[in-house]
Amino acid sequence: MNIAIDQMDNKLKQALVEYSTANITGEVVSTFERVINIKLFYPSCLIAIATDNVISAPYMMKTKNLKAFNELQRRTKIGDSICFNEKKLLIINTCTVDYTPAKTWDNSINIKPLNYSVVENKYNNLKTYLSEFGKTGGILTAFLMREEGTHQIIPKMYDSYFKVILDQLETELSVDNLQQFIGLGVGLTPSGDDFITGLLSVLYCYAQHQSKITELICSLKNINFQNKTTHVSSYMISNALTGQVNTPLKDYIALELDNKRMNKQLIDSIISIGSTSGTDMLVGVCFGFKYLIKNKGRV
Amino acid sequence: METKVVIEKNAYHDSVTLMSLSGKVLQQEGVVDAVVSMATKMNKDLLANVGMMTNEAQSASENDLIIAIKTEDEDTLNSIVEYVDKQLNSKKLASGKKGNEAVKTLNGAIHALPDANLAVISVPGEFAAREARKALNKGLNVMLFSDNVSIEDERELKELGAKNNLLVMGPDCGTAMINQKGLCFANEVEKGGVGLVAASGTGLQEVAVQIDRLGYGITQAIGTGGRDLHEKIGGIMMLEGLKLLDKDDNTKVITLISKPPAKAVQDKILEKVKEISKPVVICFLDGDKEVVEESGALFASTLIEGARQSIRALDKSATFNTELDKDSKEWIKQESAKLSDSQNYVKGLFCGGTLTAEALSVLRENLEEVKSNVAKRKEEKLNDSSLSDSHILLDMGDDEFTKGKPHPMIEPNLRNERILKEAENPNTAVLLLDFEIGYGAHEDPVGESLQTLIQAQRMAKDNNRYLPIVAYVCGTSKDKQGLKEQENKLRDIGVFIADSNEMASKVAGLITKKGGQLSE
Repeated sequence: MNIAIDQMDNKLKQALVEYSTANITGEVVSTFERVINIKLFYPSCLIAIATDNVISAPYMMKTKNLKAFNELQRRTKIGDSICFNEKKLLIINTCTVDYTPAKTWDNSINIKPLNYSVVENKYNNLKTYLSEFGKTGGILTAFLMREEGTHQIIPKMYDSYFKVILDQLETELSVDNLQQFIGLGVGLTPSGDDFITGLLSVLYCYAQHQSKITELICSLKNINFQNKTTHVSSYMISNALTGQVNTPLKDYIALELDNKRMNKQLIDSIISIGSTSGTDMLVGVCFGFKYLIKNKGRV
Repeated sequence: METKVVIEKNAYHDSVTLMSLSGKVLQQEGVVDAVVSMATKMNKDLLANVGMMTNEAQSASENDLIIAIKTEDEDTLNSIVEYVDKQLNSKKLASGKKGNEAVKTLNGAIHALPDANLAVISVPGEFAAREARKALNKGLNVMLFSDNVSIEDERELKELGAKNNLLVMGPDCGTAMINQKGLCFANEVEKGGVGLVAASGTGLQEVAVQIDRLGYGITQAIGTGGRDLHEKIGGIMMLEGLKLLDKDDNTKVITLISKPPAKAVQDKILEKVKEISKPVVICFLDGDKEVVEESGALFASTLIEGARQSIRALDKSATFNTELDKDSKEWIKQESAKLSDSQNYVKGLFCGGTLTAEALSVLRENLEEVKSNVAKRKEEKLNDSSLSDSHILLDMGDDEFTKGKPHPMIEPNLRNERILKEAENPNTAVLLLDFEIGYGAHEDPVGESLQTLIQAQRMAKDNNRYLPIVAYVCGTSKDKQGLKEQENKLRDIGVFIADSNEMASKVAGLITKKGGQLSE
């Protein structure tokens, strides 16, 4: 059986074309209704084969052929090996995944000069939007407890702990304080990881001129997240450290136009990710915007 | 206290499953705390901090799933562990079931069921019109559950349907009962002689349910989607429904249900009604009785009145007792007497939009300053739903509450949070609630809110107040959740159970008036 890939991340395509794929091996680490995750041993990365309606993310390839995808998903089990044939096509069991004609997208965050009025506007709008439409259950409640002084009638176990570590992070944006979020919370990508992803996206985009931030990103790159959180999450954070995040998040971070409709569309797309993952990422973004505003003028 | 930690090795359940399971476990009676999370170091540390760590959990790795449960006693613990296991495995079994695999495309569905003549479409809005068009072009009637379809697409689909004598129920159509089969949110309703067409989901459910409860039945219940009576659509499907039911020999009376349509659309519908050979009942909430009756139709101003008028048209001998019985009057008197001076307002928290609108129609006549997020009149419009300083009737299923969250008919948490907020508020005189049962609804809607209601009563008591609760369970005795069981759970904690939404609204109004009378 063959599956044609219609679109994929340009970095992934570039890597597969450039590397000698004969040496690339890997295994399936998780399968879901619309996504199959594969861990490549060399180069070390997590790639995903997904259906067309999944939000585009780094190292993902997508197919419009639902019938073929469903068949592949049915046949694929966690732990199945993958390899590439002589034509550089990906082989899983007896299925051949042809990515060569695929169009590409770009998940790289563009580094932008910091325009405070844009960031202040986005911070205020995002905070209001999150308090109205954000999904609770992850880090949002703790964030709103801090920002708006709201309280929970039925407190959840994570809320108070998230609140404490958010306080610490606001006091000092340090590697140690950031590490407290890694792997913390519910979900396949724990809420703390989603928060970090959102926050790193903002810092990557707007704060690379601050030596403190470049040092912070460098230090985080040296940390092995694999033993601190889930497979999917550890790669998500590693990707964010290199400026690679899902498409709506990338677009939202970089959007400078005061276009409410476009902002709202992008925020809605992010919120729709996972159960609370999208909301948790946006809380990280909001926190990042606030950090930039607070540190206005510092280099 | 008893604690158990269950570990599922290399578990890959999607986040939605994990969050939903976590919420469900926390809501079970006797559960003190519960954590469903991946076994990362930070999550394990937190588990240890709250005293729920075990050796097994300590050895779990980042890609294992931890389900930690703390309960009041061992029996509860065992039943919760069993419940969790069932929840996780039922999902696996459902997805791995052989020989009965769900089809993924419309063509696949047609191939699997070549004799089907109706397609229910529930896909993201951007794809819904395309799928509906495909179905219509293949000669299928369509029920379009999806929303976010443009009004232009809706008109085009409905025109295509009408041209080919096919129904297009929707978009955003949540209820239909076709040949006694409930589609989406619907009830088990007895077969009978009334045919219904409605641009309102819970309105259609309520009229059908009341007809059943009064001992009669329906032929078809056709939903049109809430926008059908908009000027740009022109009531295309209400007119088609009317035409179909007129031709149907089993239908003896036709009943139309909606909020008031645009004037031009109403005129068109009333013109068509004049041509119909059967009795027609028109239940337009807040509609113009005189204008409707000029067309020869019978008018009903509330949903229950729509059911009664339909039965009267079917059976001239039918009589109805519309008075509150002696026990109910006594209960209202006693509850009113327990209210403190600060408790002056009805707080209606609804799952059904049309039930909210009906409550507004009933209460505005008798109480001052009734506000609602579904109100059409400017002075009644509740612009900020977080406010609660007057009588308020909230449709909690409205987009403003459900964006990114499940509808309270499926997942009652959203409303439960608001119930507690209103219980905290010293101006709350009475909580007015609806519960919907039947196909599509939560498997135990009352059970999911019961602890919250008990907590609400306790919160009021702790503040030297008493909190009366009035509820209506919209469903029939044949619905799978068990109408009596659902009602009894509420009765057991002192909730007043009304026979209809209209009656519930009246009772809530009477309690708030603290001994005053409601006008008829």
